[in-house]
Amino acid sequence: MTTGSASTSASTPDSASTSEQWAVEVHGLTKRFGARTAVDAVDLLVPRGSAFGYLGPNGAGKTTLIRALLGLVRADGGSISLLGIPVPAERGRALARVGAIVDEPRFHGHLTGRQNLRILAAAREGRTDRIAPALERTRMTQRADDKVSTYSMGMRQRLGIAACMLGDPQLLLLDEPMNGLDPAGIHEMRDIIRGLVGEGRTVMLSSHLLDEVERTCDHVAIVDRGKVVRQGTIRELTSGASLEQWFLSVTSRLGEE
Amino acid sequence: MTTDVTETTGYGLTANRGAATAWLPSTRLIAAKILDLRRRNVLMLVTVLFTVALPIIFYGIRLIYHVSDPTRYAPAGAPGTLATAGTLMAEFGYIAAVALGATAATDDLTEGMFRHLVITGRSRVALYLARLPAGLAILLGLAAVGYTIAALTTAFLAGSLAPGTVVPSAGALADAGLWIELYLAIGYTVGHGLASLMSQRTVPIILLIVLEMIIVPALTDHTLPHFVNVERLFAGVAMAQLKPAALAGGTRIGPTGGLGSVLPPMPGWALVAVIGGWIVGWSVVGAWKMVRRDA
Repeated sequence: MTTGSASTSASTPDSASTSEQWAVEVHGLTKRFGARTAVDAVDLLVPRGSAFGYLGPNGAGKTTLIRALLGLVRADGGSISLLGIPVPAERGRALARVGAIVDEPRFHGHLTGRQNLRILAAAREGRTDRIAPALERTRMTQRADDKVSTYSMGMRQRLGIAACMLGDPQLLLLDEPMNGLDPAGIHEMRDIIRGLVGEGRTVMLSSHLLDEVERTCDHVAIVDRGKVVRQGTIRELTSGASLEQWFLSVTSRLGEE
Repeated sequence: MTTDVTETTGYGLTANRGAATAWLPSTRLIAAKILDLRRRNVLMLVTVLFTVALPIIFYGIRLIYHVSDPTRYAPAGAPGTLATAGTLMAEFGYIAAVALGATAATDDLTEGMFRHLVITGRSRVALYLARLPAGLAILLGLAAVGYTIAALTTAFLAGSLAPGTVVPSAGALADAGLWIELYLAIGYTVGHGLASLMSQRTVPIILLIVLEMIIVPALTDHTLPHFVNVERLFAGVAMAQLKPAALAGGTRIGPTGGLGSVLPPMPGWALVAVIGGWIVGWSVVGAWKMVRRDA
């Protein structure tokens, strides 16, 4: 299961692989902002039912990739499928089964958490019956009727996960979900993510918190300057070293090249 | 199975529902937008103040004047009072309409909800269109309450009128109410479309208030040689020509009424085309930006 667009150790996707295997399948995805290439011919395969970490330093193109996967920005080239459904051709059908948090989750501050979820449920064919379970799962029931403007960062992250759960998603794309959380919040978020994966859902998260990714994920890809340079299971890639040591050795080698 | 991302944008018309109806907003989506707008306390306070409280305050003052000195001040329900009240309701209501429309168009974007909504896979056109009936339901509902107060006062508190004074009929009162509602609907839809295009609230509100309070009255009161047809392209000018008699004789605050306009009358089809063009045109421009915008 290794792939990548860079010449460094990345191989092409396995031709025998089927779309049923992959929750996310990306080939040659490119996104430019003017002269700057934020995502550079990325190939990416995310196995179904895995916790997949998309690692890279700030400005490496992690958020742009996730935004392109969701159709929030127009890609300049390449192909995408989510859960075997081509995007953007059938974006609506694909996103009905996808939940995502991109950047810091923000909501209407003048509304309560429950009211914000009601708005999002209305956009998802009115599945208001999923609001209470989503709040329960993210331990937000107690504060659900308080205004979001009174929420801490960790509570907004959890509300973001609750918003994701309204669609009963098979795939969750989480952009820096641990950002701004205190240790207890990180611990809670890790439990939530592992719980979701335990139910057979796929979670792809971007992060630069290597320690947390190592604890939360089983697969990783490293992105640097818009290119995926390594991809595989953590065990395969690190050969027993810590993810941080391995990440630093890979990125420093790339810097020398 | 994958497809080239450049084959189709898929931004606008793909959604969970059938492709043929994907662009239509559901009643739940409209109700959700009403919830969002209704809970904005300051905005709602201003809207209620400019639509409902304004005629109550205005007629209350007129009533006190009349009671204190009946010989000097006409009854609160005198026809001339309706014209002044109607003009005030139209102009202040227009400000509320523009503010409400601009807020409806931009609050999801500025507060980070737009991205959550787009990620649901719901058609952006449906998200956009849901804001129109949602905001109009609030605005026109409140304006109807305010105007009903004015109409009832005119009907029942007219007192003994001077000889020759014509009391507005029920039909004339209804015409005046519909004119105010249409005027506010234009303010809302144009404010909504322009704010969506500009992706911000403040500048469109200022621009539209300047347009309606300064530019349109000037155009209505002056004929520009060789540019009469250009003047007629403004919705405010067309609305001034449509202004019903019951609203045309009041204290002048906004555009002069159709009866006092110096511009040659526009044919009916031109009035419909100009007013419809402003409503549809700005809505289409706003929707285009909504569909094209990166989230």
